[in-house]
Amino acid sequence: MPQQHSADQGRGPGLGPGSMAVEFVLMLAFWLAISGQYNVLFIAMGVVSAALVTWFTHRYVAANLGRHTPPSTIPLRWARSIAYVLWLLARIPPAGVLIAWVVLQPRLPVEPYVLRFTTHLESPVARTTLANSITLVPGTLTLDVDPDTREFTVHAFVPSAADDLVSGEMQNRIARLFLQDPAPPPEVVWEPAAEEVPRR
Amino acid sequence: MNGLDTPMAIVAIVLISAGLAFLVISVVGVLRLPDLYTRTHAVAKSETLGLILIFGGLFFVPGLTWDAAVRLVLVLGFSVLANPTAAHALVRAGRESGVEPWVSTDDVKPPPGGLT
Repeated sequence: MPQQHSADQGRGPGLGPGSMAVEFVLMLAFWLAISGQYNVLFIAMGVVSAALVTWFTHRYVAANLGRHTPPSTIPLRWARSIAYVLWLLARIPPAGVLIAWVVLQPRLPVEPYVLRFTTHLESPVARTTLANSITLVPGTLTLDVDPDTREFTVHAFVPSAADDLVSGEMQNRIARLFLQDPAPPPEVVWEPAAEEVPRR
Repeated sequence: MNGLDTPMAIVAIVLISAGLAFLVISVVGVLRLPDLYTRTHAVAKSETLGLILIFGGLFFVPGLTWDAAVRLVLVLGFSVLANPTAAHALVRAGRESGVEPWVSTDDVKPPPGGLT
């Protein structure tokens, strides 16, 4: 709902033809950069693809363009985004090795849990970033996000894979990215309820 | 001779081989793990790492042109975004159609060789 609200107010590029044109040009530039083929056939296919993608997605893209971003904070947000991406990339190898180690053991000591917690992240883009980060890092998958209660449901391969979520570190790093204050670690509900809370 | 014995090429070969190993492990995971969710972990995650390693290796391949490098970065960026999105779509669909996650208990351990 907040997206529609802001579009109605006409803040940012909104849903107008201007934002569609911007998205179309970006998509086409991406196509041309990737394909590297500059004959009529390939460019025509690029135009059709970019138009289709723009048509399907501009509702979502436009809703999040240029909202709540005072220009003075843009360098800071870029710096923090880059720092966050580096932090996230550094999480991938150890977690990937952990999964490989579990999969290759004859005993297959996989211990999946479903955990739920509520996040304090306010903007929908921030919550999408969290959901995608959870899924990107090996060992945790976002099962569901409730847009109203902000409750995340996450599947963990082994309990320790969810450490960054239980400690709230990942949430707080994303909060920094969106210029929000950090919050204390969330209350986490584990399923199945482990008698001994999963080893940490 | 063909440039395969330079230090750069050796780095490339090591990284690409490691990436391939992770892709193979993710296949092993898909075959051995007990349910949809854990299998998605294997396929989406070891694969992310495998892709990063393979692309990292490709950067060291001798004779890499500048525009090919840009394209590698774009494709890697796209895969890194698309992979979790697809994995999420998969498990969310599973959840909404009521697939119960497999649970490990002390008396029910997966048999050696995995469940089928």
